[in-house]
Amino acid sequence: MPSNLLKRIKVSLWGGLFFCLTTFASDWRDPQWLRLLHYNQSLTGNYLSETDGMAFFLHPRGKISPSKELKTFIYKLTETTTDPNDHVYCRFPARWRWYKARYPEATDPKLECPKLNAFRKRLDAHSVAMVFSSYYLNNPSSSFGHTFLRFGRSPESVLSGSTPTELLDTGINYGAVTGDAGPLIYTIGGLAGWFPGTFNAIPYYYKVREYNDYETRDLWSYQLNVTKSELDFMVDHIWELGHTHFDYYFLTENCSYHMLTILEAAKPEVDLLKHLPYLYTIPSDTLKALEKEGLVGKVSFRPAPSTLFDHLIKQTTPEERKIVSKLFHRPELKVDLPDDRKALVYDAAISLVDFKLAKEIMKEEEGAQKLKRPLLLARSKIPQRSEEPDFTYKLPSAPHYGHGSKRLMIGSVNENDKWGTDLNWRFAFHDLLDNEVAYPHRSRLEVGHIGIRTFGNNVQVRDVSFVDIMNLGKLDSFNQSASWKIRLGHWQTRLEQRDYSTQGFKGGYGYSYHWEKVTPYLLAHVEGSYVSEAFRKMKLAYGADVGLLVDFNEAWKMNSVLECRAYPWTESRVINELRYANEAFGSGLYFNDYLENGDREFGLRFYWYL
Amino acid sequence: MKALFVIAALSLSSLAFASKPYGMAGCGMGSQLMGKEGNQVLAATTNGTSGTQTFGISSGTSNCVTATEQTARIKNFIEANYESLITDMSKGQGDSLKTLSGFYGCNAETFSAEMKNNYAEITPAKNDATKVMVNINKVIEDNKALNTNCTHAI
Repeated sequence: MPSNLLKRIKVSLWGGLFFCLTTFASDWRDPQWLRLLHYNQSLTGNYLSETDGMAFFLHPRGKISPSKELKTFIYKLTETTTDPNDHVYCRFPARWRWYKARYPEATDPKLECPKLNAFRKRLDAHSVAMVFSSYYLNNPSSSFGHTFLRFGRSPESVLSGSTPTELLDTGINYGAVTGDAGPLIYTIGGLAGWFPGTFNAIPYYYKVREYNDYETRDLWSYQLNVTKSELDFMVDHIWELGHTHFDYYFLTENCSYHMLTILEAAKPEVDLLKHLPYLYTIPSDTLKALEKEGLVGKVSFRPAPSTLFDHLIKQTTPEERKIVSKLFHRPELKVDLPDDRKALVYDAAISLVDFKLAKEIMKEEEGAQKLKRPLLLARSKIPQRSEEPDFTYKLPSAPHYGHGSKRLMIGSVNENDKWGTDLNWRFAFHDLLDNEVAYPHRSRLEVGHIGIRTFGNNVQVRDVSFVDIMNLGKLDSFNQSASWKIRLGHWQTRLEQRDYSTQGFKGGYGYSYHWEKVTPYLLAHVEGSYVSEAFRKMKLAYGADVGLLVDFNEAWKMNSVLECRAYPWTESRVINELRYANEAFGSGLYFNDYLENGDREFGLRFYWYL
Repeated sequence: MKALFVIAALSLSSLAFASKPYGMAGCGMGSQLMGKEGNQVLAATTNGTSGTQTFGISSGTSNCVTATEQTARIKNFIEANYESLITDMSKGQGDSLKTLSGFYGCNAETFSAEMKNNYAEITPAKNDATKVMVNINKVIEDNKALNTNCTHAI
């Protein structure tokens, strides 16, 4: 009897060992295992996990060894523990799912996992959506937008995407913990990966209040096509990631990047990252990747107060608009209109306060409340209830429909009767004359721009921008936001019919008026630069830009600007540029006249948006 | 360097926890995330609350022991969505209002209309989530349509 038992134990031991060995031999190469542990393979074949919190690995060398990590995981499954929450089965439920799916015969530790179950219960996930918070040019880290996941709690969300009660859904956000870092440390640290990036699970309404209300950004929800088991897998994997951290890199391993890695871990058959550039991850590009892999279901839109205001004010008459303006300053004003019109006027006035005093309202400042409370009270006394605004007309300009953010330009240029070639590359992202669908209108945000010009054998790097931003803010009866521009890089300074290579910064500040198709603007200009050869020292110049941007439609655009500069000498030139651009291709003409000496440059340009 | 940041971030936020374990509402996740600034939305979203903490909070370690969970959830929702909610109330329409209606198990249409009708009685002069909740409870209790219609009234 005892020998029989011993034999049995021996057999099962050998069996177990054999089982482990065979698993160990092949399975650690499984793409899903590698994704679960966030391994990358270098060119020399070595593995390195992007995860930087060491508790994420069970083996001391787990960060670099998928095989050791798997072996340890399998071994630890058999361990007993006093607190089940600490058991690998409860700490790494997605790994267990993966393992069990490959080896249905593997023994289930069958532990209760109180903390994990509470987390699952809190999410109560029936669906998942990728939420895109739109471009926010006033904050450098958000100018390209932001993405996070929303786990839908309501069973109806599986079919309908957005639901009225989605506010109670859970948002899963990945962000850098920067503490009180100043702007400089923030930027350098962000680029160099100094800050830990962590996952954060909070009710979606916090995200709505933050992005919609506080920062007045539109929110787009992209319902994702995943099965129930993939959904559960994602939730479990997020649980694993919630207890560790990654080094946060603004350009590459950023918020949007890790949203994709979670999805990839749960859906081994899709490859989302291959659609992204190697050097950086732009949130809207990740949406395009989701679309290309067929993961996008219903898309829905949640407007910022400014968008709601635009929507409402369009329905008012000029007379009613005046009342809205007045209400903003005198909320107690008596309004004499039929009920339905009165309701519209008050709704517009309320959303005007909401977006113009967004930050003050969120900070519960008295001034903002004194303005808004009487409006709300008066509104509540109008019997008419507001209708739910219909924003389906926004859907054709959803962020994934935008043009490719990388751009190649090849052009032919004529400079004082000499013909040459322009070659130009932009890493990201948009300029004033690019197709405007899904991009912030009347703005330029270019990062990494290089321009080369050749005349015969003479090749010259004429143009390099690290950043080149221009934002024509809205100035009308309801908006008084300023326009500004900033550029950092290398360019040419013209003096006595010669170009001198120049490095420095340019900035500008002013105003622009927004008609529907025509935008005149005026900016004061300042630049500090080092002009090589000519001076060999820093020069400060100032001047002005007087411009006119014409939007014939979303694809045809023209920009004419007179630039006046006072270096120690004066220089003024007129630049005219006309362009047609769709989401993939563009072509255009430009003329550049130097007024002082009659120099002239013109050219024909072709653009490819990639 | 990196480790230093983590430690700094963690100790900073635990300090905040220690000095102010209860927010204005005294209950629920919102109050736990409440920062010194007084506005919990900003505290929850911009003060860099670390992931481990929010994940920790999620696992059932609520600091609410006295109030019922239902009350805590409603109070917390009102507090976090205060401005949006009273705006919706004045118009009789909106997602915050519909969501709140869901908490009480009311028909969203009836609830939204009645909240609008009683806007003046519900909203206090100064922002106060507790008062708003008490007033809403009273409106539901006194209102025939809501009284019979709301399945989870408190």
